[in-house]
Amino acid sequence: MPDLPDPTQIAIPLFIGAILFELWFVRKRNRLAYDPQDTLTSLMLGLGSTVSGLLTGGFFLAAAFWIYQYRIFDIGFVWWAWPVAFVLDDLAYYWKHRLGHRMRWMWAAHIIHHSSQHYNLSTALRQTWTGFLTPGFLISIPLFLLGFHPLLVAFCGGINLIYQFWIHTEAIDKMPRWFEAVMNTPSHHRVHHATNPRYLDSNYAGVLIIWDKMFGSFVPETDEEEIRYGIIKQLGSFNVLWAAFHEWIGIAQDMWHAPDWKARLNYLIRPPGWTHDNSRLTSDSIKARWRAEREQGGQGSSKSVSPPVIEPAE
Amino acid sequence: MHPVHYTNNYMTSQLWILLGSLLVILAVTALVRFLRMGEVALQGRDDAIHWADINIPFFHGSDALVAEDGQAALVSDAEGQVVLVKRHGAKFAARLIDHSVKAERIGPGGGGGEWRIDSGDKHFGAVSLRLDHAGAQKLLTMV
Repeated sequence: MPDLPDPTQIAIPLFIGAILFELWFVRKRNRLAYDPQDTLTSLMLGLGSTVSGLLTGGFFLAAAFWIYQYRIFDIGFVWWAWPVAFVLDDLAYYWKHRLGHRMRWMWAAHIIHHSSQHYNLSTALRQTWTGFLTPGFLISIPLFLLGFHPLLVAFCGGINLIYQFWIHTEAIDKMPRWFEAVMNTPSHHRVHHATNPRYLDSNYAGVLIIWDKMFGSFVPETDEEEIRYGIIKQLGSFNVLWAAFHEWIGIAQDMWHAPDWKARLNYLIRPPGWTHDNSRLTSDSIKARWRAEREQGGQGSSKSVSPPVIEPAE
Repeated sequence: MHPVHYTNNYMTSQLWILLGSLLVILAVTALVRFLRMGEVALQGRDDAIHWADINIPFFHGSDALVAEDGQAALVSDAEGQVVLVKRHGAKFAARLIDHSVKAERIGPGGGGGEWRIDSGDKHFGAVSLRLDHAGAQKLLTMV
């Protein structure tokens, strides 16, 4: 068994260097690309995520090894296992990420990554503190059962995360057409981080954008409107703890006030914004109303189409 | 290597990386501040309406009251709903406020004084607006 390094550790100097380079690049082109408080919050959230990984990663590695005992094939570290595991892990990432947006339980852990209204390389480091509380790990189990070694899968996952770092930027417009067709790029991922109704719930890819095209969640970036980043109900706070835990608190409050157990369960497994009394907007309802307003002539139709604003989802 | 042994080595090295990372975080933040990145202010009524509209789904602002320093605003729509806009980093965040919210004069700044408006959201917080005399009069008709 090879002694595999943690690729994300090795990449830390690269992350720092890239942030400094982006800062230098945008300092005269777009002075609003960075903000000190936002940068501090992003980087502290990244640090917190590392601590969380330290405390819980061992458990998941042990669980993966336990499942690996029951593997169907003995693939080991043969050369072709690396690219195959990488692609399958990327597919697992796609579904994990998609559920991370469509199931509030998993959104509670992932929302931290979307909590900045800015979009720069420091935003990439806003990573989950609470992923271990979600069922996301279950999606990777088939890889271990197939016979891919847990360390090999972990290594591929690390490379996947490193790849995703550089796509969190507005400094790069579009990559060559062939690259945009296959790979996740800054353009595709800007769409993913957008709160514009036309872009909600799209482009979940990690490395390969083909999964979005295959499973119907791909939306290309358009010049028709400026992208706005963040979440539907912007935090308006740089409190690191609030950014990390606010959605969990929201779920707990909603479950506490829910009328019955069915509603309590739905607050966990339904999409963000779902309520038992339809008092909030979900991404689906936002998109539907946006399309309706657009068909009826856009902004001027607020009186004829829009009821008073409903509290948006967290 | 045994998985438990692997995990122990991994955690020790991570602790050193954490300490170094903390120092780097502070240095990068200081650099962003030194470069004076992210300094922003509302450019007037239309800008405030724009930020209210993009923050609150399906809100279409029609009038706005902007603080003298451009760091906050109140925006109203044709139905009488009011949105409180405040600077958040290099962007602006907003909350729809209900009519139980009261504006409180907290100081003499500007011709019309400095006013404090609570968003009703503990983490979003209260927002202060320094207004001229006409602005202060307008404020009292909005909240």
